[in-house]
Amino acid sequence: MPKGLRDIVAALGLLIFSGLYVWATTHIPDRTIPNTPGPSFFPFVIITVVAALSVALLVKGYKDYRAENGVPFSILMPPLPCLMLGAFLIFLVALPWAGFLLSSIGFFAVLMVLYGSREPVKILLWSLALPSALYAVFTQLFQILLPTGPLGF
Amino acid sequence: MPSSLMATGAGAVIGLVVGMIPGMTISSGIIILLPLTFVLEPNVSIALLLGLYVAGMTGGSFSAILLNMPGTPSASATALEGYPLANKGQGGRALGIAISASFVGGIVSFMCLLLIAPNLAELALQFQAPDLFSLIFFGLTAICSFAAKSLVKGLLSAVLGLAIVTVGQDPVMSTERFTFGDADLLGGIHFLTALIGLFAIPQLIDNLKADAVAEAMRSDSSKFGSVLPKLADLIRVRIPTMIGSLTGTFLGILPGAGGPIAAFISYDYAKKFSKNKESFGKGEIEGVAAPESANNAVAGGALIPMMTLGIPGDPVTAILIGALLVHGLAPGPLLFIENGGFAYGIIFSYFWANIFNLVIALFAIRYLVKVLATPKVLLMPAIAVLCVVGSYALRNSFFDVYVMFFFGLVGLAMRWLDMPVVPLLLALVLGPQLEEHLRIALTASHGDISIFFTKPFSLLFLCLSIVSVIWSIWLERRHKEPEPQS
Repeated sequence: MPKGLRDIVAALGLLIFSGLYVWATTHIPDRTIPNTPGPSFFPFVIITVVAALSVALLVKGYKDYRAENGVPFSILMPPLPCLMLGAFLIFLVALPWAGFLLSSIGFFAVLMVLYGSREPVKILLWSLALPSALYAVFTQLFQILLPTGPLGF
Repeated sequence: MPSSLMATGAGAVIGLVVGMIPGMTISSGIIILLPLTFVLEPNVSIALLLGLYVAGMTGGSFSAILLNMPGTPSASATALEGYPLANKGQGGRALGIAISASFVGGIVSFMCLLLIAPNLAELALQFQAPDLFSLIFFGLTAICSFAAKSLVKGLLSAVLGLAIVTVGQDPVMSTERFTFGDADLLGGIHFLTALIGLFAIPQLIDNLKADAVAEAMRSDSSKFGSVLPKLADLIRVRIPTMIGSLTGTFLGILPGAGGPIAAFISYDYAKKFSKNKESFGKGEIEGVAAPESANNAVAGGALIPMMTLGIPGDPVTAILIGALLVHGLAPGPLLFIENGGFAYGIIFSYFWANIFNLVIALFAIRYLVKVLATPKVLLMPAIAVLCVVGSYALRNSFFDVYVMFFFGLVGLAMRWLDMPVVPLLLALVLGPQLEEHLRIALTASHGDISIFFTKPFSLLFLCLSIVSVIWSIWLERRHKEPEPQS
C-alpha cells in the first residue's frame, strides 16, 4: 500500500480512536478539589494533541498520496506472518486450559515448521526437549510459577 | 559481591552471543533474561542486565566484520571497514581492534558516569515539580526528534504511549480511568509486557525470511586468525577511539540518540581527522575503532540520566528501570541518597561488565562465533516461548500475556506505518511521572501555567525541547530537498 494511503488510513483510525477516548474521558468521575486538575485533565490534554497530530498526519498523507498516484498495491498480508500470528493466538488461548508445557510443545513445533524445518523427527524431538527444558529451568531452578494444565504441568 | 560478579560474567557471555546474531538484538537478550530479574536480588539482576548490555554492543561487531551482517544496528558502521578487512584475511585484526576499542569506550564512559552521576543527582535534588515535568517533556521530545524520520509520527508515537498509560488509576488521586469495570485494567498496562510485545513479535516476523546467517558462516570470511591486537594497531587507532568514546558518552546522555547515531557520527569524524582517508571504505582499522568505541560508550552515557533523573535513553535502560521498580527501587536523585551503596554498585557493575566483555571476547570468541551457525528454527521459537514466560512471570497474570500480544500487533502496525516504537515505550515509562509532576505543579500555582516559564530549570528544559523540535524539522526538510545536480 502506498505510504501516503497508509498514513491516511492511520490518521482516520486515530481520529476515531480520539473520539472514543474523549467519550470515555467524559465518564471519568470528577473530583471537586479546588485549584487541582482532576483525573480527566491529563487525558483531555493528551487526546487533544493526538487529534491535532492525526490531522497533521492526514494532511501529510494526502500530499504524499497525491505524489504517489498510480502506484499499484495490495492490502493482503503475506501468508507466513499471518500463520505465525495465528499460531501465537491459538497458543495464548490454549495456555490457560492446556497449561504451559503442553501448549508450548505444540506451539514450538508449529513455529519450527514456519521457520523452515521439514524434518519430522527433529521437529518432534526439539519441540519436546526445549520447552520441557525451559519449563524445568524456570519452575524448578528459578521457582517461577507457570500456568499448569489438566495434567498438573 | 561474588554473585554480582558471576552475574555480570554470565550476562556478558549471553550478551556477546545475542549481540552477534543478526536479527536478535540486545532487546531479545533482555527478554530472555527478564523473568530471572523478578526472582534474583536487585544487585544481581542489574549486574546480569548490564553484562548483557555492554557485551551485546560488542557482539554485534562480530557478525558485522565476519559476515557483513551487523548483529545490532549499532554495528552497522563497523561493517563498512570491518568486512573489507575480513575479506583481505584480516578478520582477526579487525575483531581485536573492535573488542579493544569497545573496552576503551566503556571505560571512558564509566569514568564520566562516576564523575557526573553523583553531582548531577545532587543538582537534581533541587528540581521541583515544574522542573521535573519540563525535564521529562524534554526527554520525550528529544527522543521523538532523534528516533523518528518524521517528527509528526515520532510525536504521535509518544502521545499514544501517554494515552495508553492513563489506563488504570490516576497517579495523584487513584481515580479509576478507562477500566470499564475490569479488575485487570485497574492495574494498568505494565510497560515491560508492552516492551516485549513491541520488540519481540515484529522481530519474530522479520526472521521468517531465509536463514542467510548460517549460509554465510560457510564462507571464507567467517574464518579468522589471532584476535589479540598488536601494539602498533592500538597506537594507530588511539585518536579515533577517543573520538568515539567521547562522542558516544555525550550522545548516550541524550534520550533516543543511541548507538547507531553515535557510531556513524564517530565514523564520520574519524574519517575527517584521519591521515589515511583514502583507505576508508577498503578496510581501515580506524573505521572499526571509532564506531565500536562509540557504541559501547553510549551504554555508560545512557546510565547517567537513567540513574540520576530516572529518564531512560533507550529500551535497554527502560528495562533497567523496570528491573529496579520491580524490586521497589526508584531510579532518580534519591537513589544516591537512600541507597548510595546500591547506586555505586550499579556503576561498578558497569565497570566490571566492560572488563568481562574484554576478557571473554578476546579469549572465547573462537567458540562463541560457532553460535552463528545455530539455525533460526530453534532460536526463534525459543524466543517466542520466552516472550510468554516473561510476560506471565511479571504478575502471574494471563492478562499481561494478552497485553504483550496486543502490543506485538501494535508494533507491527507501527512498523507498517514507519512509526518509531521507542517514543511510545518511553512514554509508557515516563507518562505517570509526567502527569504527576504536571498536576502537582498546577496545584501549587493554582492553575497558573506561567510557573513552567518562571522557574529557571523548567524554562531551560522547555527551551531545549523547542530546540530539539526545530532541529528535527530542519533535518526532515533537509532530507526532503533534492540533491543539487552537478
